[in-house]
Amino acid sequence: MMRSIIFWTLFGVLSIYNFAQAQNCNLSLSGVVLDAHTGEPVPFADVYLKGTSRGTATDDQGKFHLQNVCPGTYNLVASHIGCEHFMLDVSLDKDTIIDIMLEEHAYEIDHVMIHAEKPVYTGSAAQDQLSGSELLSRQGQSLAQALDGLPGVQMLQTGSGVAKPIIQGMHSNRILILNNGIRQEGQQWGADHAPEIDPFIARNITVVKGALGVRYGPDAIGGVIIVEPGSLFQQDALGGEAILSGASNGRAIGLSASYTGKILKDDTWRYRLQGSLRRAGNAKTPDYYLENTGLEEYNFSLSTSMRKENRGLDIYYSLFNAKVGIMAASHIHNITDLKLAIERGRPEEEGEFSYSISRPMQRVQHHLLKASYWWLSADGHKWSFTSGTQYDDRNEFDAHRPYNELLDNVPNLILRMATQSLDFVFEEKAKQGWTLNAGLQGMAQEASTPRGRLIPAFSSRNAGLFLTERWKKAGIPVDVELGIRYDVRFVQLNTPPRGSDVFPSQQFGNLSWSAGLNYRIASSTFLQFHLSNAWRAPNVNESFAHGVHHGTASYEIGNAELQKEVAYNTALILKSAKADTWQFQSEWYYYRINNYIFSMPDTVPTLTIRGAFPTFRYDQADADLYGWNLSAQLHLGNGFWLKNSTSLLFAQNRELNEPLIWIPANRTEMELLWKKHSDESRHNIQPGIRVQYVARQTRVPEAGDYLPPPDAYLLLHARVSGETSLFGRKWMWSLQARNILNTRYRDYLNRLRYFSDETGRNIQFHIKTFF
Amino acid sequence: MNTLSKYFLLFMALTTLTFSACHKDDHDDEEELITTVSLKFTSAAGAILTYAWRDLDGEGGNAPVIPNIVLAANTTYTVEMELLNESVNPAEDITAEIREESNDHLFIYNVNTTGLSIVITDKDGNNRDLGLKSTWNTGNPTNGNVNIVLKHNPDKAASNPAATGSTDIDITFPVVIE
Repeated sequence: MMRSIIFWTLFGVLSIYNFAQAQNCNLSLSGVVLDAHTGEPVPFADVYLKGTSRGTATDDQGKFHLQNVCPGTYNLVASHIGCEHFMLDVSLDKDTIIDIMLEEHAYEIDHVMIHAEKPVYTGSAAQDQLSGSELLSRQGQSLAQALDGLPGVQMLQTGSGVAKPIIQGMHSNRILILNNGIRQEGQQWGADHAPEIDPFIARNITVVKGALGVRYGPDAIGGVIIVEPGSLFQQDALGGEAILSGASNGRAIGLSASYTGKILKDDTWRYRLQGSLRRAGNAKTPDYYLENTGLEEYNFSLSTSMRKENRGLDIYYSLFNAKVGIMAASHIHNITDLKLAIERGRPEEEGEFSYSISRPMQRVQHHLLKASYWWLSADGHKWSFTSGTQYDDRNEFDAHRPYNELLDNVPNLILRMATQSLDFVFEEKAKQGWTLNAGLQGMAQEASTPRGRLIPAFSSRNAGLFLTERWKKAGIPVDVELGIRYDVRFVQLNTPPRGSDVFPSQQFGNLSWSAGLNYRIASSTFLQFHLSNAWRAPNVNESFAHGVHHGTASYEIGNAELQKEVAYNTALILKSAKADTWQFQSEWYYYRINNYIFSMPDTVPTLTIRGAFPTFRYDQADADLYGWNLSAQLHLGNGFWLKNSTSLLFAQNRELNEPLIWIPANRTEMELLWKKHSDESRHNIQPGIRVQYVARQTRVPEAGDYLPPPDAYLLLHARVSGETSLFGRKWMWSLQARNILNTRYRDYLNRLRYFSDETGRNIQFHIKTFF
Repeated sequence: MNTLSKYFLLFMALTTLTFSACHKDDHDDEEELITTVSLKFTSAAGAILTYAWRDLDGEGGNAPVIPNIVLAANTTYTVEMELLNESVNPAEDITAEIREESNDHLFIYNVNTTGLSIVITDKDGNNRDLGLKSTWNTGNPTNGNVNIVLKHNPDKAASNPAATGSTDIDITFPVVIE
């Protein structure tokens, strides 16, 4: 209660302070948007200052003009037909002219040469992007927690410390994460294996939804998460920044700092050092602490980049290092224990607050080394070459301390994986509106299981070849893209599967294709349509697993006969916006997934010395998934905005004629947000109050779960964020209160829902400054 | 191609080579398993019977081998339990470790037959039941089974200790009294 009083007091004080700070806002920002390929002006492009309500569209000569802008630093975004975003941080202290060219090149801003990077081009698929203050308010948590709540994006949790993102109902090996341009290769297959990425590293996170097999390769079925640390040559990249975050629940603290500097006097080489720490103790439900749910994370990265007029080199190394406690009550020894735990309805030991982490726990390290080089040939084509080296080391400790004390610090399961990838991409300079992209991608992987026997050791080799052609012409409201790709994958086991002494090998191949269309119906109304497919080979655990999963008290048996899974996807997206009035994005999608891989309960339990475990065998069947995501905002007047975000999803196993298991329930949320016009205040204070409703998942298969899905729940959240100048520095801050009413609830997608409630009220803060 | 690009390609080639060179399978299978629960029955007359529940390849794989415990009617047996890991050679005896941590362990005997009663005869450091040693009294000839559960960190003071702690062993022997 005390905390909420402090929160609302602070909220009030800040709002009043904001009113008192009227500001001299008479700057203008203008320029022209040009197509870098053709040099032609781009009419009707949207140009806006992100995080403010200020925006406009270019006229038929490609010109734009924003008046009455306050001094300050803004994120300038220009977007054209489809999703091609141009983003640039600009500092305004006088009238400024910016010429925007949508290419990776030098840009002239007010006679100062700066560099900007070509934004992620996502074709005609739906996407959501987090950057600036929106990203800041989500940092200091795991990647999945940061993305949760975006339209069509939820998370699969194992307690409060382990979370995996779900996109359009799919997770693990059905989504792909690009970490600084490199496919993240860890142990994604496990439902309790969170992605080995520190969101503090990111300056930009983009979620792209849809089957994107042509552009991103195998596994990109549900969508792709693109985590970008930001170019060292972005404007305002030089110098340092520091973020401090904290949360009351679990008494979590996070600290991140980075510094970017010049190496050479002529400023063609730069470097960046970045590091972060995160620590949290036992989380608390409204009634009790969850024992052993703390975490510790130490991450750092080093990078250096060279930029010349026609070439660039980037070298990047990052280390992710985490230790995560798993709630002891969830680590089940056999089915009788599971039944007892469910009957208790809450953990046997109700614990107290502590930062200490003991068994059961996970210790994970992930190394990434990236090197990429690109150059522009004399005729304007771009060639790039990227190497990614990853090493993933996952150690899992069971709840049971070994009888032999010498084994106490030895994990029960060690999974290691080394991955080397090479990408070679050619981007043709546009000719009469046509742009060809072609690429060759290769990946070699060595995985071992030095301890434990859940999955065998294996080597795999992947290769892919793709070709896309895009047609886009200034002045024509339609652009199209077609793509084709072929992938092969070889897998060779290095240890025999349980109960066998042969070393099987597997081979898979798939032809992927995509067709996308963007249609500009009116000046800022777009229709996007895409039809595509994507695939994945069965993962080694699905083919060859053999063992007990303590998190689920089940005995899993792989199926070596599994075939590749192929998803056909179509989506229709309607986006429209009117500056300062409303904005909405509606995404309708449908998937047919042939040979969808899932685990089926077997009638015969597996008898072990620890008792009987229900047996699950991997199987496949054709499945349908379809859904609708909406995000909309409406200006009610006087700076008050009403925002809605809704996600609906239906998933059905066509052969068994029953719903798929673990599919996110339908949900909607409504936020009342107050955004003061930035012309009147440079503090940009935005208070908001949000109601989140998650329905009960009523569509579940008859067998395969221990408890029916939990009831629907309604949560109340609030936040306030802003920017201010203090001690000659710019500060960005946010304060959030989650589950203000301390509501007791359980979520269908949390695997700990059998044992405990979700966490209760949580007050989080973030402060970011620049030096 | 300039010098930089040459170095870069060299670097690529090197990383690729390093990768193909490393990583042989390094499985270390020194897992702590309990494969065997052995019961040694000694009758008042001094006759010795041994019955062992065995799952030599651990969880999954081959099914466990479970013998029938055949006992004489109307007899009292003193029974000693041994826990072994027979997947390694020589076999590892885990019984001593349980005895050392006797306060944290409890064997529970669930008898599902008439004509048999089991009483635990050994105590832990707090003078509460442990269960490595027991006395079995048989009655008239019958068939049934005995379920033996090893609880780790149970609340031995609870009215039903079986509902507390976590389960390390949960096995069932068929019993024939003749």
